[in-house]
Amino acid sequence: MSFDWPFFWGRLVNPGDAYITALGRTIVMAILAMALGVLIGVIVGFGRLSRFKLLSGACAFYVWFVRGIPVLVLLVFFFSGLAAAGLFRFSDVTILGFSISASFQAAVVALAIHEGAYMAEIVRNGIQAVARGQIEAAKSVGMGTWLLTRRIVLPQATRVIVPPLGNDFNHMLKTTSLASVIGVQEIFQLTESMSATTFRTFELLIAVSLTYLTLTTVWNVVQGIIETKLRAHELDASVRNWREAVQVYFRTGAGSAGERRS
Amino acid sequence: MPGASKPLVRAENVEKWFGANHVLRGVTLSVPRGEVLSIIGPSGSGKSTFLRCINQLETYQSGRIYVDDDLIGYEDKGGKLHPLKNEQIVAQRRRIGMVFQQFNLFWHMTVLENIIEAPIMVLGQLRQEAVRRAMELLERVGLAEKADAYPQKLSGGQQQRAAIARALAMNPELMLFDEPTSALDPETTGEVLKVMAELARSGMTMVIVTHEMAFARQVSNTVALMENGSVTCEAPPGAFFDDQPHPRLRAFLSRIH
Repeated sequence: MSFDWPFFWGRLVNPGDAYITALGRTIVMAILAMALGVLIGVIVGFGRLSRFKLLSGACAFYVWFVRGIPVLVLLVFFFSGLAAAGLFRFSDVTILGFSISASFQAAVVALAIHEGAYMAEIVRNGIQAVARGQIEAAKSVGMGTWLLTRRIVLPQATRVIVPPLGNDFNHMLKTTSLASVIGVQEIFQLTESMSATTFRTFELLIAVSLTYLTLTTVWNVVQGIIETKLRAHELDASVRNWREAVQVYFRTGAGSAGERRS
Repeated sequence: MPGASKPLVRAENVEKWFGANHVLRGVTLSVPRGEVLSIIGPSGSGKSTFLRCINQLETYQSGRIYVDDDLIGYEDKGGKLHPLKNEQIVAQRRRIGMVFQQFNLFWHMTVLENIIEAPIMVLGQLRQEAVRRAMELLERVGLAEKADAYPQKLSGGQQQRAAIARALAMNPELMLFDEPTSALDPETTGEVLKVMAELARSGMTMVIVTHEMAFARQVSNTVALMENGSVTCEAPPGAFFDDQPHPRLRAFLSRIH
């Protein structure tokens, strides 16, 4: 076996414009799909807890249905399946000078719908974790349903939701690679096409793996800072703003920043 | 009759069922403005449930509860009760403060944020005004130096005093206390009772569900004994505890001492 070190270093040090653009696509796809997925998750998560049987039933159906279908199948379904049936065809659009390919749009929608089903369960769990006494206290000071949802339930549920949400985003960063199947030119797709022309398959796969690893590592740090900020109420260190959250995170680490109190 | 003697709280024949369980069996009680009513009784007698009906954390099914002239939770249409809309119930709660056994401070907010939350978000006070008033209240309950602490960092007694300040920040006409010291150890119980006694002296109308007999005797204008969903005995504390106690009361007191 021969490992082409100069080629490998070249990939890392000077990946080239095409790779940077593809990396941008990977990141933007992950963020958009996650943001949409969280939005779907909040709506469906609250929907599942609704008193209205039709709404809670529909939301439960969505979660059950989507969680039973592989992401890869969803991706192909939205890009090719709908078009083949003549139901809907994604087409390239240009927004503010950026051209957004049909396959990219289909990928974001498919990934978001998949993520939404998982987020719905995470959100539901977070809402149900809010203690009854907190809601009663909010009612007793005259808060209406919307106000107490926004000011008490959501902020408290967020503390429960963020760790699994971060875990899902870690997943999402890597799941974007499946979008290569429908032709989105993200980093894995680019790696595949480069290996077809250079035959440096091994080196290229290691380089792309390191890219994903870098993305998830950066996200780990960001998530740690967010969690430190959200745990301000139980930390011994003062965490009043994001700057202090960053300092406390780097000084103590997310897991050990003060003893967790019951 | 002078207006001052008109009761602020009037409960008439209040009935409630939890499913088949008949928890309130015709409770009739009233509290004149500026007076303190303590409700004592064994657990499961319905005293907390009755208290929670006054601010509609529980609904009652028949009878009437008036706070001032508001019929709580219902509209009376020719003798028939029609439930109010949620927004109307929310509005009725604004004049009624409540203190809970488990404090229920919002744990994601500091003590100060807990207190200014509703005055700003519900009453629309300016932040500066709300903070000034909150600091006055914290001074009054002896917690000014804890304004920026999170509830988890406080003792139970401190949390309960902060919870009292939170309720007072809404300028309620009536304060409800649901076993406010039952979750506290004896040392911190005293500091909470002191704040409540001061509040009673200041003329606040209060309904207190408690197991603190000495306290009930000291601050109340009236003490009511609730058993099995009804009021079995109601009297000024002097008559209640000292002269010839009612046989039901004697039985209850002998069980808890």
